[in-house]
Amino acid sequence: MKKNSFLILIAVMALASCKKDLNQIPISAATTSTFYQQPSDFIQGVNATYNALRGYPDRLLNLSEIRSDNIYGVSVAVRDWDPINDFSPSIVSNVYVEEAWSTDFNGIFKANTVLDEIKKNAGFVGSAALATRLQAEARFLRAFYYFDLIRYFGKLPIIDHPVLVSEASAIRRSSVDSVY
Amino acid sequence: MKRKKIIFLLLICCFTLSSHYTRAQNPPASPNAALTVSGVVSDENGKPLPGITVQVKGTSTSTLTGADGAYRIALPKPNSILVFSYVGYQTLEIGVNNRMIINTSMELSTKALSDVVVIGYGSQSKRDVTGAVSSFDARKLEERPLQRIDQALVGQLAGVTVKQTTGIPGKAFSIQVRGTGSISGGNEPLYVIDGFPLSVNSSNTGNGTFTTGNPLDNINPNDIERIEVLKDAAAAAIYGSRASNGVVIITTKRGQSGRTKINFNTYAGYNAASKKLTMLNGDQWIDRATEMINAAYVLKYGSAGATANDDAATRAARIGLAPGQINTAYMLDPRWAMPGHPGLEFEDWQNVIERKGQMQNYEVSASGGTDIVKYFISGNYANQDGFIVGVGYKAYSLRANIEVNASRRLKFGVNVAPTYSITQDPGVEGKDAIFHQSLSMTPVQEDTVGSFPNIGKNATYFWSNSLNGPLGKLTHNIGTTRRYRTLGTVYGEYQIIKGLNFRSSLNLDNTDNITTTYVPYITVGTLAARTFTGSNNLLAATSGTYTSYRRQTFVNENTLTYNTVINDVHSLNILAGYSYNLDRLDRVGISSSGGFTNAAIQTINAAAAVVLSGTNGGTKSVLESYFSRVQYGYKDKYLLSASLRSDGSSRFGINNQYGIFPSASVAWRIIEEKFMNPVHLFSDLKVRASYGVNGNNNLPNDYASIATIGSSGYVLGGTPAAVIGQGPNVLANPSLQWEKSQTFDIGLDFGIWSNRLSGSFDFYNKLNTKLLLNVQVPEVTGFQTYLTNVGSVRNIGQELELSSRNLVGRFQWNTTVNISHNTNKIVSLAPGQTQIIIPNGLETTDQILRVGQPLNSIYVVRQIGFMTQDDINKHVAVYGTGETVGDPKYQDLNGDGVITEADKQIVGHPNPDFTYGVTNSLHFMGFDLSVLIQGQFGGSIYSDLGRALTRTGQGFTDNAPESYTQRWRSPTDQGAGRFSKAYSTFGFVANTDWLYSSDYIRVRDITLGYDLKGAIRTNAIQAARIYLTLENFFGHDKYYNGLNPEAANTTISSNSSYPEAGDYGGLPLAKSFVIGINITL
Repeated sequence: MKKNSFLILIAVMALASCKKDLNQIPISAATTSTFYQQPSDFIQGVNATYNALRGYPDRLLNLSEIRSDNIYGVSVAVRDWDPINDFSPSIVSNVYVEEAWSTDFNGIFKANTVLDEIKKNAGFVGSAALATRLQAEARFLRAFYYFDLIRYFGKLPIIDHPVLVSEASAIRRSSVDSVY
Repeated sequence: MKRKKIIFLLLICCFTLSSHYTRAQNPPASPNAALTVSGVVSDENGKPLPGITVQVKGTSTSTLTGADGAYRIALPKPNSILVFSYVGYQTLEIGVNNRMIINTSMELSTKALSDVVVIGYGSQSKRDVTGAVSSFDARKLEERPLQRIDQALVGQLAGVTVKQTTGIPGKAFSIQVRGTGSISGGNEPLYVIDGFPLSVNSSNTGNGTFTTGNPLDNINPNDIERIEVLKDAAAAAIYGSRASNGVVIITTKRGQSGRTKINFNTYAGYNAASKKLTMLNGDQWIDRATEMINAAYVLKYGSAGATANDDAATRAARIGLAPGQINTAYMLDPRWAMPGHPGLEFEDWQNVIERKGQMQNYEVSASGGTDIVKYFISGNYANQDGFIVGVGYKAYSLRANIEVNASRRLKFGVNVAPTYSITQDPGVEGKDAIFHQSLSMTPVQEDTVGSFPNIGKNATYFWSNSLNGPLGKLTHNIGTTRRYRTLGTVYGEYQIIKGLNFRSSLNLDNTDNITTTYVPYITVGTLAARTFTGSNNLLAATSGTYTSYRRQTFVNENTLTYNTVINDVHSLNILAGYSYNLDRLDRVGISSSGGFTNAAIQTINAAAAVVLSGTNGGTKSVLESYFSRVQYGYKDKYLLSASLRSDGSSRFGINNQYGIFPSASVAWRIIEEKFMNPVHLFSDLKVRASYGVNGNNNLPNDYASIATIGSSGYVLGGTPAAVIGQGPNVLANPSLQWEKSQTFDIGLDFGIWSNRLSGSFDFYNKLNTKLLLNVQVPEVTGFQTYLTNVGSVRNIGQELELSSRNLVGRFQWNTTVNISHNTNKIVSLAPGQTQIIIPNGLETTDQILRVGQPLNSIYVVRQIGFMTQDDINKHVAVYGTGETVGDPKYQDLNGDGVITEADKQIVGHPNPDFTYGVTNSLHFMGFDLSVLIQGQFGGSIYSDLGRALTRTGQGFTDNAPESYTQRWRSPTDQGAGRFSKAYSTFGFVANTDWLYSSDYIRVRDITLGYDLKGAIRTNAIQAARIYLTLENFFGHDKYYNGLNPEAANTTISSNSSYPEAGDYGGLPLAKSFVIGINITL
């Protein structure tokens, strides 16, 4: 009957499913597989590495200068810089200390990512001169972040490529000399 | 033609369930033979019933019984069926059977609805249900001044906890079914409206509000006929991957065949704040400020001979100021000591901003139908002015539910509901929002500015805090949210062969929401900034934003159902289906930069420049599912149900896109057994047990498994210019998958003394595993957390629902009670991890996730009294330096002699242990009274509002609650024990002085009504009722220094992976008083 064949058609259409629909690509965000295809992408990747420098001036104030006589904290044990100012022994979970470690390592991660991508997709960078320049910038920033970290924390794990979660806990802290 | 009609009628008769049905006989030879039937209709006590509709089934011939209950109707043919119907009574169908006089009696339909329960993809008779399902009859909701369905569910069903998180009218509450089981994923249930599963949406910014909408937005509660909540895994498993937090099935009103019923309901009244937090009044504030200023002055200049009795001139000289200059930190206002405080005005800021807001609501609906078409059409206008100046909610909604029986085999229908709502909220709840500021606002102000300090051309009082007056902000700031939502469903059902039905539906939910805000410069900053000096641009301080989202959900569902009864004893129901869900969310957010160019225009086009703000862009996710279910019953005594569902979602990693969700449940109707026959105590007895696996795919992010690139810009160059930077902003996890929840449930349904007392009891054990958790990872990876499936939480609880008809007869009294008990416990976190301290954006952490403890346990230092001189001499552990006599003494948990973060301990948990609701309804002679009392106990709230109002080390300018008058004043006057001395310098650590019990009890609803039908004797009106309703008028809670113990309006956690929403300035709930009239024509 007409009605039956119509129904079968609907069923088939429904079942001719949209399995590929389950692999959605983000509409408004790039991913590591779609990015790093244009010269501007690599430039932006290095610009992102600079981004971790944003906290640098405040960090100098909050972790370094506050302990000197150049700065006088008027608050009394109410704000986060006070335990640092007071040389308190329990600053391990202090917000500024945390921020230094995580921001600098985030910068190191971004530098490693760009260096990795330049190596992998060398053909898309555009010109060899640009590739050299970007690599140099990334390497400098990575060293700068390590320099910032080593003065606050001492021994550090040396990371020179983007690491997976599983590898990360296996990397030990290297001595101060080897980091330098 | 006529023959077909007769055959058609005969077929209809065959499917009638009426016990009064008699088989039709051959039609008479003459089609013109007219017969008249007459009789009297009375109620179960023999009293005649006027106004009953008597209709010849299948035709439009009908009449009404007169005042004496008598009727007379002409039949087109002798063997018709008469249908007797009336609002509130069970409809009767009586075959004429060649009789000329038919008298009958009608019964009240007290249980008419409870016989059939809506379960997923179908309905089932309540006696056959094998899972844990709670039902709620929503037909009386039009008499309660409620704007939303979640408000209606408060205190009604066991196991369903509605957290009333906000006092803004029309704003969503948070609902939890059987406790919280998820840490990073959402905890809201799945809502299904007329078979359309809406996209699950949780409070995705962790601040307690639903910034991209809540599934119940705009839906008119008066359109709802019933609500079922599928609580255990077996009932909910048919919805598989989204059902681990329970499923709420909403059924809207349908038309019935019979005479058209037109219903008109309207009410009007007012709403006001149900609770006020008494703050220090002018005199008490002056007393506290004097104490604190004198203490500071003496502390600083005491060595130079300063005393508290120094007058202003002496103090100025000692500080080194010119005579006449003032330093408010060390000097008093001389007017405080003068009688009548000349020049100063005392303000009670809550009274200034609160008012009695008007409420009104108009609802019109029409329903009816024939055997071919049934319809329900409704329209509603609601207007509620909030109890805060400048806050309000207006809603317009329409609905049309139409169903057509096109032929014997084919049925189709359409449900369409366009709605539009407007909310006015200039930014009232939350941290640093207007209500919080009105609590902190200094109660002493210059009388020249009165209630508008620091607004426009008014200056700030020197000793006051520098906030801009809240009333000024409420009157001049604008925050408008316009939300347009359309829900539409088109469905068709086709009967392929007897018992085999195919149903297909297309559903679309489209929400368009636009929020605009505007803050003019007159309510911002200081007087100096608002003063024109000749060259400055005042409008640079004006700001505005425009944010909008569009959410579209498209669902196509196709099911095949087969129903049969074999050999009269085996009943079988098989379901198989396929469904496709598509969800899309597009967002735009822009805000002004550099102020506005024009003071007359408030829309964003007048901004000097605009920048992107908030989230912009679109996201999309797809869900594809196959499901099936088998229900089997043997002699209606032994029941078995099993279901299986497979869901594939685009949200999850490539490796784990599909999940399988099975369930099984059994039930034994003990009452049907022969050995129960002599036992007359029980009228109903059923035992059931179930086990099933459900899933939770509710992530705030549709693309969580992919390594997306985010922006991290910077400024480079000799002439600094911003550059775009892009780098990976998340660690990818291609194995990301569903959260699984396994629930085991046993239940008992019983009825005693002919169902005079009936109820059900359930015990459940729910284990959520593979929780979507942002696990902390070593930061050398570049990130702090990484989303993966690890961790588990267990919820164990009991629920009891009881319903009893205490008194029947002329005076009726019914009671329903629901009580739920729930405990939750973290079973495991990441391997090797025993706890996660939730990072806090407000300086010190106060919640923890610890294995073996409830979720989000409150983790703070415990205060154990006050320091005495003796304690100081003995060097009792202190926090920081500077603690003196009268400061709080904290418990040194680890005994190391210092108070640090390590001394924090678990002092409570936010989810209550018990929630309950009790409804009593009484009927007497046309009057009826219904009272709903609900409450909870066993939970605690850690009030972040204390950070603004009651922190140690707080200055004197901010106001404090009146309980501050009970603070420690001297070693001989220790006060009430919670607050330490006014002036302290040692800083602040999160401690128990902000901890309150979140227990409360509220008389949520009192409705008193009178049935006017006895007074109005006309056939035009089928029913008429006037009523008076009080909501939230009486109640008590233990949140002494806050307003709403369930409030959630601010993000406390600084990490969105562990959302923690707290109260930092939430409004109290509204109490309302309305009078209304409800007429059915």
